[in-house]
Parts: sequence; structure tokens; C-alpha cells
Amino acid sequence: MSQIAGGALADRIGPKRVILWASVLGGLCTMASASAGSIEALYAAQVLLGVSQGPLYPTSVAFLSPWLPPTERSFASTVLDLGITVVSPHERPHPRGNREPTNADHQRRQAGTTTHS
Amino acid sequence: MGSPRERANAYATLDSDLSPAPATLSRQASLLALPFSGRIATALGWRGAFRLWGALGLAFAALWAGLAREDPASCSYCALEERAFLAAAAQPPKPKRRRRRSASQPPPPPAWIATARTLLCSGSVWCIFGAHMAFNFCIYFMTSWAPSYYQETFGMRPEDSTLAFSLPPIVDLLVKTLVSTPLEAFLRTARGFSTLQCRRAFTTAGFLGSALSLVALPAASARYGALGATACFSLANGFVALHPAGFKANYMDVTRSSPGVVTGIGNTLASFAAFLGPVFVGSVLQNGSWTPVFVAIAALQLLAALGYGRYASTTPVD
Repeated sequence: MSQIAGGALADRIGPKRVILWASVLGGLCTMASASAGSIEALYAAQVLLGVSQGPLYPTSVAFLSPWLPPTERSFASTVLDLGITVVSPHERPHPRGNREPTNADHQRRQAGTTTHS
Repeated sequence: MGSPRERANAYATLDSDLSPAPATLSRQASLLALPFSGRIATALGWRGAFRLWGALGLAFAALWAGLAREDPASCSYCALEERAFLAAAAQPPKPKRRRRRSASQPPPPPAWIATARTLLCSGSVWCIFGAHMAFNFCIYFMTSWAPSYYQETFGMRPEDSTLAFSLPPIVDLLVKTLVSTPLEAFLRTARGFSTLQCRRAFTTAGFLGSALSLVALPAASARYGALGATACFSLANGFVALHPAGFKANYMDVTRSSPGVVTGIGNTLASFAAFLGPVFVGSVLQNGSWTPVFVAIAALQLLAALGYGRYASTTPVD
């Protein structure tokens, strides 16, 4: 949800300052994670890190807008999207996303059925 | 610098690395950190890894404070010719018409409420939101559920199927780096496409291609096994990679006064779709077949393509 608040703030005070404060807060939260004395403190630092980084995408778009004529926006937008692509081949996927297999999964597996009908 | 187009291209390239838009670098750096964090944590310990990334984040903030400029007009190291070109390209917002009102009439709402109302009642803004939601729904389905598909259909574990999980993002990368920009240049110069036609072409091709690839996936799996599935997932990823040059770039076109909040709302709605996608797929899978899942996601892609084709606009609504 910090994306909407961050984007609105960028429209009001300018994206440069929002990106600056998001970066400073992000750096401080990461440093605070290093000094966490308990798992709860680590969780808190990481949640704050997430809140501080939420505005980066909408604010980046707001920042780029005045710098680019319409003919060049698609290129910048593609560059902005490249990070996810670059990191994807390094990720190790987990079966069933983030959930545990259900009874239905076990039953299907035991029955040896393939499901690409 | 050369022609206005070359100069603007140079700026766009610069945008991904240094000022005027290190915003992109900030985003890329945080993502690039992921693959290396494990090894750094092994070498420095987890506290050391956090300190290193935190210090790099603060160093970026210092660079940003010194180099970034809000707009071309306030950038001393931007050539005068360049500033004039960009000022002409980015027209100022339309002046608001003031109506005379009598003393009995209620005062008009604050400007930001009027702007928000204009933006949120616009079909050209909502068609971008719809496209973004359908895009996220599809991409997070493929990321979250492809491993389960391979395991249940072919008995393949992710750690045993390097090609299946490496090829789709590699195709995505190749499309973004080698196809999108030359394709748009071709459409503009050889076919005379306008910016709106380019946005529509990329978005429609992205949705249509990924929908057809996903619909063909069960048949390709039945005929060619895991290789067929990998080919279809890779094709779907390749088509999806066209969207940053389509509806995502359109965020910068539709509003002059509020690009931050409009993109924030769109990306938040898309995040909800990304969250709901895997849950929806899980519920459909209780019936035992993957085919309805692929068909449902393809139908959603086609619906988004139709909506975007009908309502998209590159004229700012404010």
C-alpha cells in the first residue's frame, strides 16, 4: 500500500525527494537488520524495509515522465522491467508455489494420474 | 549529440545507469542483489551481508542526492538544446477553465479531488489497470505453478529440470533486450505507427501470444512431453515481455500531473491480482485438471487485450 502513498507524495513534492528518502530509509533498515538482537526485531526491520521500498516503482515512473518524449518511454519502461528478468533464472522455484500439498494432490500422485487432459 | 531521437535514446540509456534517472538503477540493484546474497552471507555472515547491502543503499542515496535532477530545466549538465527538445515534447498540463459562480453556489472541490475524479473516471486509465492486473495474474501463475505442473505431469523436480526453469526467463530477457526496441523502431519508421498504435500493438501481441501459448500447452505436453511444455511456457514468457513497451509505458502518457499516484494505484491493484492468481489456480486445480486453468488465464488475457484495444489513449486525461 505504500506505493499509492509514495506515488501521491511524489506528485506533490517531486519524485527526487521521495526516491532519496526511500533509499535512505532502505539503507538504514538494512543496517538495522544487521544489528537485530531478536527475531522480532529482524521482522520489524524487514517490514519497514518493505514499506520504504514500495514507492520506488511508481516514483521511478513519475521521475522518468518529464525526461522522456513519448517515443522513448517504452525503452525506459523495458529497462525498468529488466531487473526481474535478470534475477529470475537464479531463483529456485518451489513446487506448489508457497503452499503445502493437499490431500487431493497426494491422492492424484498415488493414483499416478497425469492431469494434462 | 546527434538527432533529437538519438539524443533522447542516449538519455533513456543513461536513465538506466546514472542520473537523470538512477531510479531504474535503484530497482535493478535491489533485484541483482538477490542471487549474490547467499554467497556473500556465507563469506561475511548474515549480519555482514546486511551491513554491506545497507552501506551500498546509503551510497546510492548519496549519489542520487548529488546527481539526480527533478526535470531537464533544472539540470545544469543537460545541454540547452536537449532541454528545449524535452520541454517541447512534454507539454504542460491543460489550464483549468474557471467558471463564474454565484454566491449561492457551493465552493468547488480542491484541485486534487477534481484531478483524482477525472483520472479515476477515465477508461484510458482503467484499461491500463486492467491490463496490469491480467499481466500480473499470468506472470505469477507461471512463476508459482509451473514447478507443480512439471512435477505432477512429468514427475520432474525443479532441481532436476534446469532447462524448464531457465529457458522462459532467458527468452523473456532476449525479447526485452533484442526485440522490443528494434520492433518499435520498425513499426514507427516502416509502418508509420503512432505512439498509440505502438502501445496497442505491443499489448495486444503480448496478451494474444501468451494466451495462445498457454492454451496450446496441454496438447504440446501430451505430444512432446516436458519439452513441449517448456516451449509453450517460454513462448508465453516471450510474449509477456512485450508489455513493458505497451501498457506499462502508457502510464507515462495518460497523466501529466499525477504519474506517481496513478502508477501506484495500478501497481497495487496488480499486486492484489498477483496474490489472488495462485489462490484461484489452487481452487480450480481441486477439480483435478490443469486445462481449465490454462483456458481461464488465456480468457483473462484476451479480455484485457480487448479492453486495452478499446480504451487505450496516449493523450493525457488531465
